[in-house]
Amino acid sequence: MSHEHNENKPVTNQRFWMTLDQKEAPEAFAKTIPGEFTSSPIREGLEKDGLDRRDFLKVMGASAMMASLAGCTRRPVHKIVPYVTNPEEIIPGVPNFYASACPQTGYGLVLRTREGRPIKVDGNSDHPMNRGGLGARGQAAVHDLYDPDRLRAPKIGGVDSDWKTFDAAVGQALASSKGSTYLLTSSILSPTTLALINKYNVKHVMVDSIAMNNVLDGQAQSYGSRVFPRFRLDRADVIVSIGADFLGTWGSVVEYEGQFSAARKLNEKKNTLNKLFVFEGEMSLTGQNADERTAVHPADQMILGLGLAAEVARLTGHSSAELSGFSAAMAAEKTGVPAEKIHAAAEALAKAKGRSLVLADGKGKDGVALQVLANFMNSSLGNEGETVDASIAPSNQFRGSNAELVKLIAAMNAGTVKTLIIQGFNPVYVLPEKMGFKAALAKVANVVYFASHANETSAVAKFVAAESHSFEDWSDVNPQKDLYSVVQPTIQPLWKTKSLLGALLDWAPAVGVKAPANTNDAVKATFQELTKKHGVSQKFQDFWDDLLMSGVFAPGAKARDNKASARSFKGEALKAAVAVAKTLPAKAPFSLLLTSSIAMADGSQANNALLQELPDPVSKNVWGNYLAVSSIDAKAKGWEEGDVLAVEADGNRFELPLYIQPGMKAGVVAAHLGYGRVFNGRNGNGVGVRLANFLAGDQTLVSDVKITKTGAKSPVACTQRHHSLEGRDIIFDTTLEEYKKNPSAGVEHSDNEVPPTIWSEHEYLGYKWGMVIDLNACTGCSACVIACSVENNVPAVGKDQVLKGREMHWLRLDRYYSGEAENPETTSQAMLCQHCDNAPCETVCPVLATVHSSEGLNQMIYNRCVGTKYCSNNCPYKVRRFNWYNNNGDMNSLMEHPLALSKNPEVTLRSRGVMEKCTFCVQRIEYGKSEAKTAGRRANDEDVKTACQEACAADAIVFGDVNNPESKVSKLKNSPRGFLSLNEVNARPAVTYLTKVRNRAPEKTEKA
Amino acid sequence: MAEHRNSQEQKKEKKIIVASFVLTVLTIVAFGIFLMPGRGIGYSPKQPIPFPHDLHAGKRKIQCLYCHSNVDKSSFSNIPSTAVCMNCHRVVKTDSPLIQQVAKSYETNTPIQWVQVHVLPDFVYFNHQRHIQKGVSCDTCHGNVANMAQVEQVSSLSMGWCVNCHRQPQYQAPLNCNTCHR
Amino acid sequence: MSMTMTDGAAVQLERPALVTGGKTYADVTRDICTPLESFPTQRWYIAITISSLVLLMGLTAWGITIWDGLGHWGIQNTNAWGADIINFVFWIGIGHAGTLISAVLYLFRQNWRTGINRSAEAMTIFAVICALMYPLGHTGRPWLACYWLLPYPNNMGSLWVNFRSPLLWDVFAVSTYFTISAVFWFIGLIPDIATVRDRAVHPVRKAIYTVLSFGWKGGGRHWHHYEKAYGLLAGLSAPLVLSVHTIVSFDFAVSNLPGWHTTIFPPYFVIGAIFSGFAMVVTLMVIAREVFNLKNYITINHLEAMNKITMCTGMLVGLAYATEFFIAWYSGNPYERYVFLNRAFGPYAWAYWTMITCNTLIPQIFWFKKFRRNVPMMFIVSVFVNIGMWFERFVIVVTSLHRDFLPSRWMYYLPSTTDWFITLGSFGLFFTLFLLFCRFLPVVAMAEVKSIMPIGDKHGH
Repeated sequence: MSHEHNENKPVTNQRFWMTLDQKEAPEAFAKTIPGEFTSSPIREGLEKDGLDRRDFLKVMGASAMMASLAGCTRRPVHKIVPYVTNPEEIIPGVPNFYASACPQTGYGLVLRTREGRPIKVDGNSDHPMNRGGLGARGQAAVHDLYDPDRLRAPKIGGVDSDWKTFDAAVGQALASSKGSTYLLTSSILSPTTLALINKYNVKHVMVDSIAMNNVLDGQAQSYGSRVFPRFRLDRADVIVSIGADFLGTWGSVVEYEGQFSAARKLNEKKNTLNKLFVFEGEMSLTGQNADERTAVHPADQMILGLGLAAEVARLTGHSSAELSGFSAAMAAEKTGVPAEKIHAAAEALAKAKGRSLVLADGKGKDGVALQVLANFMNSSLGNEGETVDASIAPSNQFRGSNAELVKLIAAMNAGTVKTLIIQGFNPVYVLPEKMGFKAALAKVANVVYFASHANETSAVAKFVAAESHSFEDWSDVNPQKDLYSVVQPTIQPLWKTKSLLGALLDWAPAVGVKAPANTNDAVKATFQELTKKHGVSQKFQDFWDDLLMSGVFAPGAKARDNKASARSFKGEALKAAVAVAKTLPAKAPFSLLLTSSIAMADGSQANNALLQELPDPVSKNVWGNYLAVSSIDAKAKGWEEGDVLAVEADGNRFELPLYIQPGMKAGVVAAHLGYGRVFNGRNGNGVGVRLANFLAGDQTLVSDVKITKTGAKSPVACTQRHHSLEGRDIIFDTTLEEYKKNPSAGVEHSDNEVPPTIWSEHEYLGYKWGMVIDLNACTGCSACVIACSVENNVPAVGKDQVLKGREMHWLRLDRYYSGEAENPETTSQAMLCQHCDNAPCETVCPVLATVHSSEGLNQMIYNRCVGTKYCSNNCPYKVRRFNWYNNNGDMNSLMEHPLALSKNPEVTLRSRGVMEKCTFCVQRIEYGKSEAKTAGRRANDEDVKTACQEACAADAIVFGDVNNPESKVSKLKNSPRGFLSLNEVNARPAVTYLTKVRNRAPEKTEKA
Repeated sequence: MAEHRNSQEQKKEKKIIVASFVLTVLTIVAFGIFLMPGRGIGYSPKQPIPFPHDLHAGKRKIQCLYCHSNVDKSSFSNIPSTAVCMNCHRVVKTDSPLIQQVAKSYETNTPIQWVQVHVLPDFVYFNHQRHIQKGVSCDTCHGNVANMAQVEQVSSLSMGWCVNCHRQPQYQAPLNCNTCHR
Repeated sequence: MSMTMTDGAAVQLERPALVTGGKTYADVTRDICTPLESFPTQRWYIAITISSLVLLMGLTAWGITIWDGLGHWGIQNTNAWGADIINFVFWIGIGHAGTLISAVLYLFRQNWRTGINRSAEAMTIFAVICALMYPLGHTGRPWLACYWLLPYPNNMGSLWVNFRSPLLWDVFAVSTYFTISAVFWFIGLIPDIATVRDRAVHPVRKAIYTVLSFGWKGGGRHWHHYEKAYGLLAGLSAPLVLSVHTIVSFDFAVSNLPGWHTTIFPPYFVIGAIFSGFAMVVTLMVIAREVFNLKNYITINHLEAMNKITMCTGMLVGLAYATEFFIAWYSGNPYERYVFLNRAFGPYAWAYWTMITCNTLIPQIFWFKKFRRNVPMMFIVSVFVNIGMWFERFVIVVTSLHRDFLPSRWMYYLPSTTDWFITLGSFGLFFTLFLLFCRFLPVVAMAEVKSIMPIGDKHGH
């Protein structure tokens, strides 16, 4: 074994850099090193909120009696309380699985319940849309159910009351205001609820918190039908996105992510990749996954679109008079985007006629016009019907209309609205002040507001109906045409709450509407009609049982794959769009772009501590929003990390700490909506700043803002304080060309064979658990981080602890930049315990609290750990987490109800002073092996799935038994793209990463 | 001047040393007993309703799995619900006050608060199903319950006691820590 | 140092008198025992109140930490060790000079040790007591760590401890060190306690000293056993000077962190320990000889000898720093190179250069005899040396932890207020114990001093 491999390794690969200054001027940077420290923990005051006298004496007592004898208390008496009559499907200790669906997105869900309560939610792998994947917010929904701050009873005028009086009062209000009752909700996917609303003959206005009106209006102008088409990314070889963050928060994200990542997989049979061009102002998750990303000012997106459309029209022979004045060169000169980038995108699109897709999201007044351009390009490229399906299974997920909302507000001001029912939407918080919704609301006699928490809108609503969580009541969803799922309750409602459907059914008699008695009957009635409509031959009861078991009723399943009917593009829409382009305001020195964060989205889950603490996939910041500024502006203006900037525009002002984001366009600053909420919530109340007042209708771009440095400093809580690889062998990337020439491109210069070791090696006779993570399929969406925390009872620790570097996530996504400073490329690496065969932590633990199992797991025994923390110091991957405080509440007093119900009983709750880490979901391994043993066979890939593997929509994580040759993981382990992170430390990790392969030309300067 | 210290003083010193020595030994022994392993052996708490196993399992020879039905299907062994008792006691000995107590629990739908005898710490995950399927009979760990009027803990249920069995080569039982701790 | 010429025989350098001021045996006993028998001076009371207040502050900080959790300290997931381990290594290091003076110099028959060996040994024990707070206190669950770290038979299938872990070797090394130095110190004390007992008037004092003196009669047999025991224990504790800090250095050397995983650590730590130990002895002796006017017993020559040793070990420590840098460069390992570059020029350059100046540059002043014998100068230098040695441990622990293999986990560490309270508290404990020792036990070993005075040695050799 040659030892000189250290010598012939090339000089550290300068492609990767530590910070932006190092990239431009390495020598200047070397001088600044001594002064640089990224985020120092705030000097720790002795007490949290003042140490009063009694505490002082208590503490003095404790310090004198330092080592209390733990074992001297007699054993407490335990009770076992059986059922009176045991429900036949519940066997204590055995989980039951129920298929359900998410009412907001329509994705299929599978809920794991223990002893009659859901503890984990995952995607339904049979559902054609999300195929088993689920976003971070979906994964965290379980903790919303058990949120102790939820409303526990309906309120009338701020006073708690019960449903009988509440129904009577609302029924009477509805009866008296016949004809002038309005219903304001977010997009409702439930056919039962929609049918019932029609019977109520109320005027129903739908508004989406993350507005998709532009797409709908764009489709209406271009093709005449106001529909949100189904974009089929699995068929798109070339995707061009102008500001559309379809992997982050734009559209049906989990569906797109699954399809996009499937095309990013590489193996012997498939060595092709799709290609993603992204033109955007801020750095979004889609931008991080782009093969070719170019920064463009959001105000210039229209001109860029026209340039690209002109090129595409020329190449596809659809050039029309309106676009004659535009070309790539003109667009390049106006927007600063290099002309060859536009040409490259246009040529790629033209080459992939019928197998490409253009997605756009206009931020300013050009919202609808840019959609028309995108539709024009899709039509001229022949994508209409191929990758844009508006006839077979268009989406029902986004039906909101801003115009309708404006009409409603006008009606409210005019006094014609007597009763307004609001559900699934928090208008006082989401809508800007200038729309005047709150003032108009005062003019409405009866406001009925469905809410899970007492929040901004419930403060001004007379009737506040405590809303059930979607796991507590029956409903159904129809996210796409001819695709239905049932929403099944998996728990008795924890508090006196009702869902919108339940309440409407109860109020039906008062309004003289004939409706079924309860939600279950209503949903059954809907499906009875559907079976008739779609000619289902099965007896209804059998059909119903199969539906509850599979969770999906897709009569149009076969048709989903064939070609949709191509609609014809209306020429005059293009004329109108070009006209709009001329009326756009000039670019101001600074523009503010309001983005949606993947963790908070519209802010409805603000009280979910797991989501508040989810490191933002792009910036890794937690607990609050921040002002993302480009590195160019920061250098020009002399802004440093943590400065608080004040942003003002037409009378509105806010202050936020800044965060320097490489890759952002100069002159653009961005900040997340969904923060700064005011509601009775212990976690999210008052976190971050509310920016909704800057919105204008659907425009999320405030073209002219004044930015001033307030001189104050407020550190942004960030979980990754360093962004460069320092030229170390942590991850490797390559390009498609090099991959085709040599599949282990990018990896071969690191000596991939395993160095010798003096330790005797473990020999694994039975199972040997291992994992493979495909860096190319992983988009960095962080759903796995939440899934891991929910499955393993990992606590959230709050902003001040994250500032001190004590976050508890067992799995983190380290994001490394590479390439030039202004427009870096990104690689996300999921870093979790590597379960090393040569584990540095096992040799140093003095009490044998972490030892190696005969199946390749590095076991962490919580009850044996005394907390010397040497294992964490010795771990080169730093994946161990320490319980600095009692994160699960005082161990000997009961947890506040119903928090205890959210915990997974199969995983020990860790007390203070104990180390914890990823265990490869050992409770799932043990359960899977036990099931396999009962069935008399060896556990296979189906029996054991880790929580992160199950949550991953991109199917980037593969876990299994390496000793079993047929398992997927053992095949992937010897893939040529495979490498071990930090291989020369010789810890021999059990996790193999596959190189990230970018679909672009190799960099000239890059030294192979 | 030190030589002529009389022997009486020396005797006093010796007494002090001996006394202190005896005292320390006593405290160590006391603590030892107090913390002795297997403290659980012989633990036999009074149950809300004195259920005689010797009568049911002993004389009437009712199968263990009749009442503890989930023991081969789940890691928990379930205590029978009141309904299981009522299967027979709807007709059998309905006059006895104890049975009336069971019937009252059934009618008023309030479960009986049995007192747990075999208590394992929360961080231990014992799996009944695996042991039953391996052929380990109930009395190996619970002792001869068939002739216990009131259930009594027979074995210490300490880690050493479990590990002792798992170490026997013929059982091929897993000795990984994650088998019971996770 | 006067020269006497004799007729061609080997020139016999005249050694300077170790006890000056023409003291007789009675003078020695009276000088050493009077501070014990009279009311303590007002200065002593001030000193003890200050140090016990500081100790109280430290205890409160300990109480808060143990009551509420380690979160009160500045350590986090990247730097899981911080001020706690720095203090532990610092205090254990200080102890080593005491053992060296009392055991190794005894074996080398260096008579000048008699003036300072008792207080140096006492300093060792108090330093180790200060250090012993950390191995338990820095763990997350001290109420379990206190007995799980010991290999006792138990009912968990007899789950033993991990004998491969350096932390366990620490438990054995430090407890052995503490017990042997305590026994060695106490046996040395017995004859003097007997003297104090015989002079004691107050019944309670007499009773206590009687018990403590184990019935010492000063007879020939007693002395015979005493000499043998003392020699044996000196022999036993001599290797401890090297072994204990070697094992403490294994806490770092055995890990795979760049900057820790180097074979220079054992000698580097041992020299550092002796270096900081002698500095602390000089600090304490300068104060003690003023307060208890022991100038005749702890003469300038004693202090000069110690200053020479301090400078010598200071330069050795400097050599160790240079070796670390050379080996990092020579090994070609990118991680090692980065750590040492980052150590000298990274965010902790301020700590590194403080260490370099205090440890290697300032002691160079002792090349000049004038400064070597100048009391205020040596006091200042010794305080600087101990500051430098605290920073050396700071640099070792923190610079390697805060930036190791994965850049995404790099993070800056600063001790929290609770950390500083505990650090000061440990100094409070040290000085309180030392002041109590000076109050209740003879500071200088009277028996040994008498044995080397010229009166006792009629033939002048």
